[in-house]
Amino acid sequence: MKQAHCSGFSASSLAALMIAAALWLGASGGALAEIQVTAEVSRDVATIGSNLTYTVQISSTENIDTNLLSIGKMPSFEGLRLVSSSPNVANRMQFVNGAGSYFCTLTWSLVAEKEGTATIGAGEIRYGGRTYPLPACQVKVVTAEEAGALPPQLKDKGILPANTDDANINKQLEGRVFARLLISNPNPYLQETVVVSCAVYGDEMNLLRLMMNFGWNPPAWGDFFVEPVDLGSQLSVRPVPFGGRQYYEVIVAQFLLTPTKTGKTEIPSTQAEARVRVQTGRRSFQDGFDSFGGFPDFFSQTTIPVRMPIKAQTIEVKPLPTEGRPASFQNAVGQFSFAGRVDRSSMTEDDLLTLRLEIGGQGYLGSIAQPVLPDLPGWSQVGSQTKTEALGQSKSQGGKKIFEILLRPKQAGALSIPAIPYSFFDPSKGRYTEQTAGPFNVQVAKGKEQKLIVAGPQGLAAPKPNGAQFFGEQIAYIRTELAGKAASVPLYRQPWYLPLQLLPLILISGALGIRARRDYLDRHADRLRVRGAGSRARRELREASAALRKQDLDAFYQTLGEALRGYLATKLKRSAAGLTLEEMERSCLEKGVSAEATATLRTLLETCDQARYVASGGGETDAREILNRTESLLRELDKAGWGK
Amino acid sequence: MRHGLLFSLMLWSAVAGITDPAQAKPAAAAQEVRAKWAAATEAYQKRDFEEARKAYENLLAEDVADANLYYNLGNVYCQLGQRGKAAWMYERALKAAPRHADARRNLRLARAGLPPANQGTFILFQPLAWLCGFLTSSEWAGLLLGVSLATSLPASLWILLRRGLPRRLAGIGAAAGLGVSVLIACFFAARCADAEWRRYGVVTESGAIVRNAPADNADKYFEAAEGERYLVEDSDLSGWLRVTHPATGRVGYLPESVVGRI
Repeated sequence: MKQAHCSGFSASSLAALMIAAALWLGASGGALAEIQVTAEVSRDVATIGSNLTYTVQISSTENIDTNLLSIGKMPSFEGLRLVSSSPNVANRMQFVNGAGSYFCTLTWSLVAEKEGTATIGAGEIRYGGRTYPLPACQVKVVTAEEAGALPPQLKDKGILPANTDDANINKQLEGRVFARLLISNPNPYLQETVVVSCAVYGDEMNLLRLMMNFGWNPPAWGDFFVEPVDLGSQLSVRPVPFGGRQYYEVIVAQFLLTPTKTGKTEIPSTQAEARVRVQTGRRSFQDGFDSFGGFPDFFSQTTIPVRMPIKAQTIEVKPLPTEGRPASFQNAVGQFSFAGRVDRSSMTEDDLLTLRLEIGGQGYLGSIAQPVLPDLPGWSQVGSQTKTEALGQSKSQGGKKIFEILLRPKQAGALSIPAIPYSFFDPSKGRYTEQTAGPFNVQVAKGKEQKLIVAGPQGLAAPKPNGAQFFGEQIAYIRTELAGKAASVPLYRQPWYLPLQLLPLILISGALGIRARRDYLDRHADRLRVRGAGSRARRELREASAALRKQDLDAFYQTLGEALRGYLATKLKRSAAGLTLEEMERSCLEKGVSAEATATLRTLLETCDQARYVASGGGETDAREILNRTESLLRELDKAGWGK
Repeated sequence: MRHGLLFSLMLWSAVAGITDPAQAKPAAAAQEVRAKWAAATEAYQKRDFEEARKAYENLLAEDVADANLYYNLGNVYCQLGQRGKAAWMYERALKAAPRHADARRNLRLARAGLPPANQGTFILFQPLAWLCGFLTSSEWAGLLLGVSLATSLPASLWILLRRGLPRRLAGIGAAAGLGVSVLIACFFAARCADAEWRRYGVVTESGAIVRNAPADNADKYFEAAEGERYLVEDSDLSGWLRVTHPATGRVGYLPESVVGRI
């Protein structure tokens, strides 16, 4: 930064100034406070097209009246373009040791235009009639290619520039934010674990605070066994010197890679990502903080993605040396120790012996295979189980692998298990180490040739563990009968299942249908009765006809009369008992029955009454004619409206 | 009357839904199965586990699908120290007979040290999952049929009766039956979906590596524990299976040869 302090005055000029001030005070009746003026440009080196600012700051112990402030001589800007000819003016006050200090800043925004040295010429500020000089300063303008968009010290280390969708912010991030891949050992041995981390760097803590949602899509690792490391939800930041500068480092992701093949493996270029907060409208990530360096104004912010490319790197995996390789080597790589023991020193022929072999230490646990047992005369191996106990957070690096081998003695007597060798390659020392376990001596007594217990068809109380070492000794007994519970086709796939499942629905639907019919009949009983009057009357006419055929004239007339009265009573919604001939006649006429039909009705009813109460009222022929007339009358009456 | 009897017989056979596989076969074949079964059991008792394994595996190859066969073979694998295969057989036994307590107990032993199979299930759903797995899908289907038929009777009465205590009682019975039916239908659907669409497999070998792609030279993702159960997403990958770890949800590829399909 170029600064010029313009507060120095010589003693003579001070004396002259004091005299002048005294005179001026006498003339004006007041005095202006002394001010200090500084000028600075935001950076020494800028790339073409990048933004920078030229700031003039006026400070005083008293309030600065901006009305008295003017630019006496505007500085020239060679090689730089002014974004706006008038500066941004800002005032602030600050208390220092109980005394207030007043500041007024004039800021010009500039854009670097030409490659070379840009010069901001000398200028002048006037305040209350006095003139304060502004010194000239220079800025080196370089091309993006020349800078590699990064300071040379970072470029040398293969760092690629971060980028966003905003060109302005890209320039502000130049050399300040970047990511790289950290490889703990780029030249490991086969099966020697390498820690690979994606680290993001920022030159200011505040810059990293402005960034969030760090992420990294790891590449395809190729011939490595890969285990991601859980870094927790809070990423830690630590200061690290890099390229001659102080940076702050955040490990975004970490993997443990164990090479499974020798040779060169290129880890292709990737990119780390984050989102950076910027103030909406201002497009400057630094504006995310207020001028006092406090927390940003969250209400007028937006976030934009920042991409931080990471260059490709190579890991060259060395083969394990053949020199000094023991015969018992089974590709275990790490700093391990080997031990073994048997669970008993005496037993019977019916017992099982557990040979426990433990290999533990630091290294890739996946490289530890079960030790090859030498010939075991007098023993038969019936099974084995492997347990892995990880030491730390990683499941594959560091810990213990336990092999439990079940041995059954073939004969009684003093039996022995010879020493078991195991060797591993220690990459830190670059050499092989062999260790042995045993030999183990076991006294085997004669057994009882006891058969294993079986449970029968329904099962039996399961045995208690009773200190058994092998899970085969703790399991529930076998069954002696087939369960017979395995249907080849599930029930719901049987062809009749679905129709049968529909049966309840059919039943309920039937009940609903019956209920609906019944309700309908209940609701429309009167109407149905009126509608059915004709058919009921005709049924009675048929009965009357039958009576006539039997020559029972009394019954004939009675039935005929009842049919007619019943018909009319139903149609008129009255009781047949209380219905007189006059009422019937009147009602028929009211309901639109013709006068002729009404008269016929009356005649017929009277005839029926007379025939019932007067003996031999007529012969069979008369009765037939009356029946025919009644049928005709019913047809006539049916045509009437009856109050529809 | 005759129709009612026929219907009852159909219903009984539906709910029972069970036939003894030995009885289902012709008598001679059934006798042969029983003889082989007895020989295998005898070999097991004499601790000749290799012979017992061969005998039980022969029965399996003859399509004898029986919960106790799977269970016994699981025990043989246990005795031979093959945890993965033992767990596989116990899983098969439990699929055929979910209430096989011995198979459940032995499965727990075979999986000692491994996280429980229901680890990924939300804790409140675990009792429901247990209840769902308590019956086979066929048993749930039979139960659903029985309960829905039993519900239809009070429901029909409630619809037909006009008023009074009988109608009220029929209504209560129908509502209760309907609720139970819906509940059973949910369990049945869940169990059916599990049986029909979800395929599980058990890692039968130790040191099986889950890879990021179905190829031997693909990236190693993580090591699958012997006896662990995986959800098989895709099996049409020429010798590879796309599997999901039920608890962690991690998806990878395992060779078909190290996975026993349940």
